Amino acid sequence: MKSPVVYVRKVGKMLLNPIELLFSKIFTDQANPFFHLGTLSFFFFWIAAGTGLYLYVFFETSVAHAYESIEYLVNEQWYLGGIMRSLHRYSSAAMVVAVTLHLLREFVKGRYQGVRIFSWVSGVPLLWLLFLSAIGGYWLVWDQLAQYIAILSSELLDWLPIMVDPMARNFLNAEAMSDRLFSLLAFLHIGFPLALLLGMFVHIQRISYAKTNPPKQLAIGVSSALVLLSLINPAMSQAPANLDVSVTNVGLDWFYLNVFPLIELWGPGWVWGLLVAVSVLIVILPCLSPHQRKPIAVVDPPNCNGCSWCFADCPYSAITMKEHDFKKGHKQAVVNPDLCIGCGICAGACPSSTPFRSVDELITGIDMPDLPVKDLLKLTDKKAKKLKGDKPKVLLFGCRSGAPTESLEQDNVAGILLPCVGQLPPSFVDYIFRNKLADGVMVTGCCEEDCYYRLGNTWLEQRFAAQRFPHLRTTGAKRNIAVIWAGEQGNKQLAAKLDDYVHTLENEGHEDDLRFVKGGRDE
Amino acid sequence: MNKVRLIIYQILAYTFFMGFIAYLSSSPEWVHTLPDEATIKVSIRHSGKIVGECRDLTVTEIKNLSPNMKVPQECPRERSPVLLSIEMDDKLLYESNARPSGLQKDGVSTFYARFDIPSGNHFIKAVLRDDANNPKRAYRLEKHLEIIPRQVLVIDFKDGFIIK
Repeated sequence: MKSPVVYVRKVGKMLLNPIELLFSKIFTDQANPFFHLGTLSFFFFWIAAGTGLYLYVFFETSVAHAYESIEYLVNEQWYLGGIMRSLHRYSSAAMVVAVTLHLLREFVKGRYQGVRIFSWVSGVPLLWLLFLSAIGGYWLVWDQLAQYIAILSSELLDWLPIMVDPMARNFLNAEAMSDRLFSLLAFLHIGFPLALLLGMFVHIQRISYAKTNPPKQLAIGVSSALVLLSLINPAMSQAPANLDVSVTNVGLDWFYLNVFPLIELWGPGWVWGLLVAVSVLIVILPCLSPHQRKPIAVVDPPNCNGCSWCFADCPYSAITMKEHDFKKGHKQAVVNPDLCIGCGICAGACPSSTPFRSVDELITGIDMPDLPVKDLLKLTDKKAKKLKGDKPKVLLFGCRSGAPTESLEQDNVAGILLPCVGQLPPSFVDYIFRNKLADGVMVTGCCEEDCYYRLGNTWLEQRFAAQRFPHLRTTGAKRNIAVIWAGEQGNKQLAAKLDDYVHTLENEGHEDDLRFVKGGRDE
Repeated sequence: MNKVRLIIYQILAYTFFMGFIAYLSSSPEWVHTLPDEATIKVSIRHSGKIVGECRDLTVTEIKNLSPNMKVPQECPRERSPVLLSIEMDDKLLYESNARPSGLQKDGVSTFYARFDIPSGNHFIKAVLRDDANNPKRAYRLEKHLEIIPRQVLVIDFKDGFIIK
């Protein structure tokens, strides 16, 4: 029986995939916001931090003047301080939206187990810090909303048996409030975001080439949207706080303050129960569904020349270099089994993975036990031999996380599926063209910016474009290789691109045309 | 998709994003208390009586104490729990028995509660007992109050009930 988590993920994927496809059509794969939720979270954080610094210059940390100082910014300095205040608030809201979607998406796409568990679990305290940072900010405005959340948050904290004197005593009436408490709140509103930033830094430590900046197009788009929103609908304070008068209606920020109505409806105990239960559930989620660990990369010291290309390409920093076991002055790759995700990108990077080597048995420097390079070579030869018919023959390399290739197999098209296309050594493409095993080679995989193994499609494309080692060598390969990042939903686009490719090969020949075909599902 | 249509769709997507952020940042409004309601906050910190009697030390016991620690009596530290009950218009509004804080149960007992009540005339009756060994010992309050809408009324205690 399958775990219910698997079904939840399936339903989530059914809902998410069409939305992502739509956004890819509108924004292109490169700038699809759903592929950049992590970097967008960073981006929104920086907007909130930058604008927060400006606001702090004018902010008065006293009960009597906090409200006034913000009103001054909003009314007297609306053109800058007012916009900054609105940006501060709206970017925080945008951040929680990005973070929530990021969490849901990683779950739905199954990117939270195995090696990724560190990032997954380290994200949970970040959620707490994010909410604490934001809630602390709402206190500082010291309006009716601040009064409401000050009373309820103190009641929530007082439920815990940690303080002798109830914190709520600080908010009994106007005379009970002190400036010292206000200074503490201001300090916390700086401290929590700093802790959040540190946590975000830790969160991305287990991945190499972690991106923290969204694409320029997206950054310009979202920041313009936030500025425009700040002008059209500036964030305003509610009536000033007065602890001698009870709060009736509050305009609640439902992104961050959604827990407060629950405190009123359920009581603090149940709310604590809910918060702890949700946090624990997120932490244990990786254990609630089966995760089959892929075989990890294995280094063969006699064939490792210490070039470090695998070290440079590993998306999870699982490879380090040490002194070679027996080649003096050389380095040798070492795989950390706890960090290796089993993608095979390292095998694709290894210069020893070339079929042109004069050896009895093709053994490469770093290889995958489930599909070694020698078996990949045999498979390529076998599939190529089966190609027949008058139409141009094409070998189609795909990946298990991309568009399915089985349905596209025909007499003249043979598909070879890899765990990740990054495992395909470019020399295999040279080998196919040099030995005329096929008229064309098409490579497909995950969408751009959305590789299941993070960097497989990026590195392979850079290898084909001679921007990253190992390069393509033969002219035929350089001219005739076709790359289509169709993604798992892109079967129709892939089929259409394959037809076009076959048609082009048929009509124009293949040897003399300069043609590095590249496409994605957004086209 | 042609470029103009693409830009239009992007603008629509950003507009949706802005609308979503703007709306949920302050709407829908949440009703905390009704406009004709008032709030009563019960907030009391009070130490119960020490449980048990002080005992006079014998001359030998005093002799055995260090020179800077010599005292004539040994007193227990534990305090009595404090019982508080509040009635409004002859209906029980709040009742709690607060244990003294601290590992030695020698600290202060605290109460905090918040109630939303209809505004108008009310009769408040409060009793605080701070000596479990002497149930007759009690502080009492009985008062007619005119409570206006949205008023925050605090019931505190310092040698007797205080209404603020």
